[in-house]
Amino acid sequence: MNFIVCEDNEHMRNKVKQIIDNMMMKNKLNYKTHLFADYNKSFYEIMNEELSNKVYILDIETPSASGIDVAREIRENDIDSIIIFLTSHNELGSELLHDEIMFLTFITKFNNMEKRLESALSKAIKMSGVRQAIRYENKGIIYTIPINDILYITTDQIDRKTLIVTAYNEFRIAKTLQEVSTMLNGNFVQTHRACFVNMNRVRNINKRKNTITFDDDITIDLLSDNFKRGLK
Amino acid sequence: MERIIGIYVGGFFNVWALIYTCSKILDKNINYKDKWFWILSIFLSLYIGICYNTINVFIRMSTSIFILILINMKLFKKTIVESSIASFLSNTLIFISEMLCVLFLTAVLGINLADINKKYFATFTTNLMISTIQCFLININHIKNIMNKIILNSSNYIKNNVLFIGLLSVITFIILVISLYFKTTNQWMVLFNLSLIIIYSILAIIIFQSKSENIALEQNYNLLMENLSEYEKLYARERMHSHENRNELMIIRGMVKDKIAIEYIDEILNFKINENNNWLDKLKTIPNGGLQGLLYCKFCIMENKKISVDFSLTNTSDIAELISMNNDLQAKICKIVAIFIDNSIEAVEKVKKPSIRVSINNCNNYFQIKIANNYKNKFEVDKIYEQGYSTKSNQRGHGLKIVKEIIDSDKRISNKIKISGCFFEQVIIIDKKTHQI
Repeated sequence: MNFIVCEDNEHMRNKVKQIIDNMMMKNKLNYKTHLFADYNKSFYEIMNEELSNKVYILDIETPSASGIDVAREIRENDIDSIIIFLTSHNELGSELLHDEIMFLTFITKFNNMEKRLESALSKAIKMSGVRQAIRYENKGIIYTIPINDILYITTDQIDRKTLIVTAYNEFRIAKTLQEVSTMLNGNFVQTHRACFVNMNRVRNINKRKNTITFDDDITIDLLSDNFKRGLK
Repeated sequence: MERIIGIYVGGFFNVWALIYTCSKILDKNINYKDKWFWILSIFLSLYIGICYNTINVFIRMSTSIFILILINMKLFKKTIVESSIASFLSNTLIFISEMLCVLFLTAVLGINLADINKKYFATFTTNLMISTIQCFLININHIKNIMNKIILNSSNYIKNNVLFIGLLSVITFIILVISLYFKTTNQWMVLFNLSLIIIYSILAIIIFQSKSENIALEQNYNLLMENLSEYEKLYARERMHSHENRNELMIIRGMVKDKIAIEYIDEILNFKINENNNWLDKLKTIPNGGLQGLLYCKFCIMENKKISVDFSLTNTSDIAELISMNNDLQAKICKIVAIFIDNSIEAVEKVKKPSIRVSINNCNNYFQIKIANNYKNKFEVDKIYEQGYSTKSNQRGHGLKIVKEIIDSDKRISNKIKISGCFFEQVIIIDKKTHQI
């Protein structure tokens, strides 16, 4: 894991490093902590570097830039890393749009910071390596589909593309079903040669009629005998 | 029996070749398990076979092409424009295949064309040869790529009405050539010429109407920007006066001892406090030039329509960089923002919990203005800039056309579209280096 900390106050920065070290001593994961006093060139180099399992701990208020703007830039190219904000205020107000930046949490520096940061890091460790969204580009348009919004994925025989079905839209991606299945997380189960289903969104499986009903009342019949034995 | 095999079975191969060619042009697969493929292809083969010696060649050709267009729309789920172009290209290819086949039979094999017409079995063979040549031609990568490109650019042809004029010209040419060959009677040609005059007149009206709608919309936006700029100046002046008046009233309140007068002054002061709403405070850091006034107006409209509005403006300390942008650039940005917000407002009309997000971000090398809205109806995102494709009732795509023209003419501004879950997002990027802040 790679912890990337940006905090302009030296005392606070060392405190965060200590909390990380204490937290990581309790588990056996390899980790490295990158410390920065500002959103400078070195920070951006690390940000653009392909490191595994990044967890960003960002100070919102620094002299040179806002942590929120930096978080947006991170999300332009990286949707899997985890972002935790440090702030001096009790609330972020309407400046922060959660769905846009997909941050884990924000922590106020002067209100029980140690415990809250430990809890956030614990969550981050569990979440790391687990995909939160599928991102791809098609005809110049960038698609970011939260994994949990997906009901099922199937193939479009006529279009020769894979179809990602959510409650609000259908998305066509020019990859094979197997390629897309590698972009999913463990909640997806194959129910048919041409279908993977998000079990978190399934309300009912009718093995007699070979149908699957989702929590938004959509029903599909992509359940084959070969795969239904493995379903609970 | 020979006649049935020659015309109908041979005809079926021609029809299959036409549909196969269309599938290649449209980059689709034929689903042979779909009953509609068999029903429609057999129907078209029978139709062509029955019409072969019975119906006028013009009617046979035009109705066959029309049926093929419907087949493409049904089997491959394409728009009428793409289906029409594919049908036309497919028929062009079969025409070329026929010429190559005739060339081969007469020049290479030395067979007389008149003999082929008499012997239906030979007709079956020639039909088969034509279909084979056609399938071979469409599988040549170069030809396939050219046709795919024509389909991809079909929206541009519609935009400039090139498609209609092109098709019409080609059809006119074909009919004139055929009328010469078959020595068509005068009454047919008179009817044909009359139809042409009517069609060209309608086309001219449509083109002029579309252009004038575009011009009107552009003028509306220009006027809006000018008015908003003036409104901002007026409002700034009034707010200053209002603020001074408040202070004066507070001073007077301190001097007055009469209870009724004090209550009256309190009433006035409370009214003034309510007037300074949320949006004015949030937007006051945006410099004058139209954007502040524009956003204020739009946010008020959204609130009236009970649309949830999220606005964020980050890195306000550097917002002064926006001030140094020249007026021309600011005006263009305001126009684009206005169009995107209008589209968002229309898009969320049918959503249960309508929500629009607007954010202005100052990044390292660029500014970013994002306008995002949730949506209800399923739509094909990659087609939104195609004229004719719209999820709205009127003013189809004119606004986005203006946006595209502004972006194409100014390298400082670019646009990205993003889909983030159930939010559709338009991102306007203003390059800092190019406009030299």
